[in-house]
Amino acid sequence: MTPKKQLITIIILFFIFISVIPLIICYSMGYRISADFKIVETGGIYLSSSEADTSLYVNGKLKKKAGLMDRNILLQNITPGIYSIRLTKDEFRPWEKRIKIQERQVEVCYPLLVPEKFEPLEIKKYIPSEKKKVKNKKVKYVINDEYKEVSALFKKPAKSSPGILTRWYKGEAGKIKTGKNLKLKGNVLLSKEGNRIFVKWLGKEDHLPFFINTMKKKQAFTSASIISSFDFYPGRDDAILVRFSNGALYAVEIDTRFEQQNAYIILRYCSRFLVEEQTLFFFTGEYLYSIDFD
Amino acid sequence: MNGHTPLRKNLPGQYKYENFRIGKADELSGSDYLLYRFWEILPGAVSWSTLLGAVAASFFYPFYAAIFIICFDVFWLMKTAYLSLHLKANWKRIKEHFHADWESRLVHFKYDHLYHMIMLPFYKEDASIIEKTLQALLDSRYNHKKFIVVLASEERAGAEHHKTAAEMEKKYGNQFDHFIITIHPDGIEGEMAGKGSNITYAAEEARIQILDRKKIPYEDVLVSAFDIDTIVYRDYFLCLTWMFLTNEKPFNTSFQPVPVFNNNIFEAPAVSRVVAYSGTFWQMVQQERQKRMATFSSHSIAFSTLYQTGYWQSNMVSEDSRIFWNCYMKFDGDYIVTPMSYPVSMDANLAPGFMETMKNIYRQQRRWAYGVENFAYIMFNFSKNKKIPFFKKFKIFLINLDGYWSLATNPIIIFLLGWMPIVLGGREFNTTTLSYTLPYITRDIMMITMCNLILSSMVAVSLMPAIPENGRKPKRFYHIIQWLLVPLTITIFGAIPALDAQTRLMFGKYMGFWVTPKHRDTGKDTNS
Repeated sequence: MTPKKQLITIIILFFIFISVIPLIICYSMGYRISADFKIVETGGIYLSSSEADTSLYVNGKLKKKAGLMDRNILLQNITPGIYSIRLTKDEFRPWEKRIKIQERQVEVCYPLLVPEKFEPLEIKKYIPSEKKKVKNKKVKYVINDEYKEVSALFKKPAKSSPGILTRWYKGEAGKIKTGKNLKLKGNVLLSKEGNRIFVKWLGKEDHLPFFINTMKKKQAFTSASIISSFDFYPGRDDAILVRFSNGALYAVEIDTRFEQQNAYIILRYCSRFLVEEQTLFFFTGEYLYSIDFD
Repeated sequence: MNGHTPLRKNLPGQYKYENFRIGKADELSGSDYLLYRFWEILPGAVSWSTLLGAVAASFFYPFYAAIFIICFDVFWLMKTAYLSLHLKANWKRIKEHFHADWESRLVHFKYDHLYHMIMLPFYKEDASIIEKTLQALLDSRYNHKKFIVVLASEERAGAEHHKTAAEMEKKYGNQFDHFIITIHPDGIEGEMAGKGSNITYAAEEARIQILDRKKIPYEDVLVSAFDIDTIVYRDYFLCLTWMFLTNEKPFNTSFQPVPVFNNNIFEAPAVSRVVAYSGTFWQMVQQERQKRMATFSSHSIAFSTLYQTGYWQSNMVSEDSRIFWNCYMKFDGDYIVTPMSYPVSMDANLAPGFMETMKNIYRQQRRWAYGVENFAYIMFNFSKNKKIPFFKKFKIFLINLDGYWSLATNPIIIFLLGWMPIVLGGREFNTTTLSYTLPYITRDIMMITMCNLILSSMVAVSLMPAIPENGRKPKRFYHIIQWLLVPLTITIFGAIPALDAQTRLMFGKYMGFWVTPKHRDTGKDTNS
């Protein structure tokens, strides 16, 4: 290339650079040109879902579909205002919220998509013995090991305070002694006081999740009905399972922003329940069932 | 380094080039030492400040860091476009030069008086590698009786390798006008064991044994300083001769061919191929920017110039580029590299095992990146040489600093630090539209930038010898998609070794010359 050509190329690229940069920066900050050619400031919604292949409706109109592998949806170019949003997925109950969008801000939500139907699996107390059947003799039944193990979980005492190393590593969360009225998942602490469930973030302020949104202890749920027990929703720290005195089990999201809190019935009746990672175990009378949420 | 380098005390006030062939700050004392150290520290300090500054800004000022990253991404796109235009132009020029009839171009010139002295430094390389290089010289279109072949061996390599040299002389000696073997003594005070000290010794020996005895004028000898694996293409010497004869100032220039790493390209793994061709592409781009060029690897120069300059510096690692700066200082800035746009073929990095190959690539890239040692030499000499205009000095300062800084930081900023504001920016920043659009914008700009790889793969395939279709694998396809490794290779085998080299220099942990082992499937594992 001749020096002249080089100089011309540099000048052209320089002008492209200085013309493109303000446009890209303004675009990335949320500025858009409206239909009447005015510069408007926009915001966005970010849905961090546990499910892929969902559809997002804004004010009743389909706005975005997540791919088969995409769990999160980012919707941009929304002018400030209050919007009714709805996230749907086949065979799941829709999740709805009214959200306030602000200019140059992205509102982050954690939709709780609950399956329409659950198919609990019974864990039988007794199962036929695997020993060879002797002729003309009745089948011998033995106690099911799985039943024994899960029942033991129901009887398990409160988790004791962990060792020094864990306490140091986990900070405040490491010092908590969990039990019937105190549940801990990561840095999210749930506590039951009377008929009210509170949530508190034990981690660093910089990592404070939006569904809690305060470093102070915050009421996450209360009800006119008596709450008999509670735990985290299987596999999540932003939702709770609440069992009322009538035996009904509900899933409730912790996020109380926008003065709206979604709750979904999971079971009409259970006498006891517990959550172990992704699985919900519950008793109906003497019968033990499990539901895998994974 | 063998022995102690004598300290240069009481440097005279008036600049005399010969007093300033400095390898490292340790050779100086007093204020000169401090000044030289400052220039040694500067490139590493600038690179580290940039990287640490980007991390700190992501933490304290994530908004501004995100804006900087977007600007930088666009800048990188523009830079890539600019360099791609140069690559394309040089690609065209190489094809033109490669197919040109240089013999007919030389018809109107008298060049019988010219000799080509070919320096072939070797260490422990296998005889088959040397033979291929010598055979390529014989296959080249030039009067071989005008060739002076100098096979420069090392005493420290041992008797076995001196025997190899003797065998080569026996087999090929009578096919050239002169063929000499030199054995560079081990442990000369003030020298660093490596290619520079070896060829400097060899060139002086050749001068005494051949040029002076045969009374060949130094002006009539063109020296080609090759590596032992440098294979010349057919018309290299014709092209070089033409360029020498048509040059306005043939004694104030070095001639730089384009190194392509074709010798063992089909045996080398994809990473090695991509790294090798990236090096070639950079040289091709530089060939189109003559004023930014310094010599690299194999190059040619008039013997008289070399003799006046004192040959290659033997107390440092990057003698191949330093010789240009030596000449630049010797001639008070009246020196330039002439781009030949004609290829020479060399070995891509290859070792018997994959991990060993990776290690060797890293070490070789670090050695090349250690060319940053030239920066201190240039700036120190600039501070002493008052004959070079300030503007010229300042331009070279900026070009060099930008070059070292870009190599060590740009891929890291683009591929690693681009995400930092999101990771470190904190909760407040992470609710902004900017925070959510940053990854998408960065990704999209990168995707556009990567379009350049289409050109890269086309150029690479065209520079390669015919792909042997001897296996089941669709090789041509692999040679195209291998370019997707570029983000990885320019970070791991570009930025990190460069940062490594700059950091070593910054802390005064001076590197020695690392000999790249040569391996071809047909040959044994050897060194150069």
